[in-house]
Amino acid sequence: VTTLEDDIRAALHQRADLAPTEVRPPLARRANHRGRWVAAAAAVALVAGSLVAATLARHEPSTSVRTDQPVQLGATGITWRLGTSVGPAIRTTDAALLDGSTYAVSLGYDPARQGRTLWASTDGQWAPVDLPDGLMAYEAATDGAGLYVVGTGPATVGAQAPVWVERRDAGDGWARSELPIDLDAIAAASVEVHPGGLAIAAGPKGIVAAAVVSTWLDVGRLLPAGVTADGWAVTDAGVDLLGPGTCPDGLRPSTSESWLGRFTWCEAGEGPLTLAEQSVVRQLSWAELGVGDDVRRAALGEPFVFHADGPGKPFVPVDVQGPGRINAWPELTADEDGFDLAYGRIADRPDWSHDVDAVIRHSDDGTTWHDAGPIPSVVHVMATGHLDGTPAVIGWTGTTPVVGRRIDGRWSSDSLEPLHLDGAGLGAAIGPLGAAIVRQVGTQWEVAASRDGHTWSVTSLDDLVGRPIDQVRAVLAVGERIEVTVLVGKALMTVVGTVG
Amino acid sequence: VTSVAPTVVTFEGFYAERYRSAVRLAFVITGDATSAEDIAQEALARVEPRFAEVEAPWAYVRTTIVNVARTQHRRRQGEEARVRLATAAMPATTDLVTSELLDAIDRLPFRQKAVIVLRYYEDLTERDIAEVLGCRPGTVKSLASRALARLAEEVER
Repeated sequence: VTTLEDDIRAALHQRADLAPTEVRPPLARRANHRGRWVAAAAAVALVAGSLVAATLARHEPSTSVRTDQPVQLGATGITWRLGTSVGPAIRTTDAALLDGSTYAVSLGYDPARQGRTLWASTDGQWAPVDLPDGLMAYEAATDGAGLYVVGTGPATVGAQAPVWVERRDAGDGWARSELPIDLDAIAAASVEVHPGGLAIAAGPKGIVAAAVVSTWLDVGRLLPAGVTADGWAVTDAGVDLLGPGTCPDGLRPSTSESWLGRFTWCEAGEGPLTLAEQSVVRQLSWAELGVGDDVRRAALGEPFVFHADGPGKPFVPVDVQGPGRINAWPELTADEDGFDLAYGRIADRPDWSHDVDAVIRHSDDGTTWHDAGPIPSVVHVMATGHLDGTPAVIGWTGTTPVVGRRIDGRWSSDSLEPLHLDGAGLGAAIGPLGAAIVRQVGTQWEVAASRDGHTWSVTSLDDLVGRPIDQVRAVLAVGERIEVTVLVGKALMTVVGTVG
Repeated sequence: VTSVAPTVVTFEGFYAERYRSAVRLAFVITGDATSAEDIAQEALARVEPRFAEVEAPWAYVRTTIVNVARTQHRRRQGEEARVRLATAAMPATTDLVTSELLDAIDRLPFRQKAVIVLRYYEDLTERDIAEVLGCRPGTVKSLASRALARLAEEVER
């Protein structure tokens, strides 16, 4: 005899067994929304008389070329073997090479070490490195003379968690430099604040650090005394206050609020929900709302970027000329030509559809930035670095990986579609040895590797390990090796790719 | 040098590991396969930018799934009959008791339904459910009690 509770449990699990089980690649759904967005935007324009739709930023069209150079399977000279030391589970590309040691940050909470961990590897043997107290590290970089780590600290009573950079020279202690973000002001104007997505790169032209501060503006609290509104839309210029929502006869208005604003929807007993017609009754600039540039930047989801001239110099805010809400963490690279900042953007619509793309900003000196993209077809940047001495990215189109290259100041991309490298659980890295892309096909994991981005070899990770792999935790390419950290049962293992 | 194995994951690994769970949870709540995939992807996409600083990313995703499902529930009340028909047409729901129970669960007010799913499918405690729904544990107890009473009544019919 079963109880009602047993029957409920059984029924819910039976329904769960019917759920779709194919794992779709991240962001594939977002890319597929492009068509829906066009229809949705048109609908919004119709019902709202262009009032709401016109306030939302649109991304500029792609102007770069797509080369479609041939890619092929072939011998790359990269051979794979099991590693002798378990490496940290590292987000791709977060690694630096200094004095023969590889440094990388584990981007996760490690209970054994009370926080995230900076790891160092010499000859493939990994060991944790002590960090200054309180620093929750995000990424490490080096300029060949010093090691830089960017992270956040613990929040204190009445103050947000600070964001700062630590520098260590050979044999020296750590030296701290703050990233000047007015987090307290952002918190005072917001429903919630999450600093994160920190990135750092160091090179001959100095050090650049980037941060994302996720927030949801508390517009109701910011309105001037005596001002009320039925709704609002956050825009590049400030906030548009909206009048009452008007619904066609028979439809019931309801209000929904998000970081995009507060909008009225029209609900019916049957049929789809539509945005109500709402007129813009007043426009308030950021200044009229009494908020500064940091609050504006956080509210719009734009990256915070800072440049320091050299070791010990203060970090100064710079404008990367990159409007648009960040969709994925920024990737930073530095070389003798300056800096590249890559990130995915997303334009949310009030109806929750999206428009996504990926952009590259370049600076010769770290202070003056310009648009160097977008990368054709790419909606998500998985890894950045250099291939054959050329700045390169591994990107994702929504259906397949591509290799993007900056040649003569312009980005082009070569699709890897002919190699059928689509799949789930994608991860990628670019290092001095070349590029690597990890993917899951069915229950099997594979790594595709290339020295130049044109000729690729594909190797089964399950065959190398000799047992079924449960997860790939990290892909790391630094120095003359590529490391893939995998989880087999409860054990972490590494697979190492080298040449020769 | 002794190496230490950290207990961390990348977003890519988390995504691969949790995608199916996310779709299943969304499907259990909504009963709609297409919308379940959308909700799961939405929830996973929302956690991505802050993945490193979220100490319990699955809890974050679970809460997001419930919230997005709640929004869609409001918007799609009119489509529920169609959803229920589609679900009932699936082969493994021919068990009459199960089918009847799922229909009854689907007819519950959203918060009662969420409590039932989180308690009997996700096996969460009252305190954890309260955190997901943004209410007090006492409210969860009351919602569960009302939901069970209503389900008992409906199944007996």
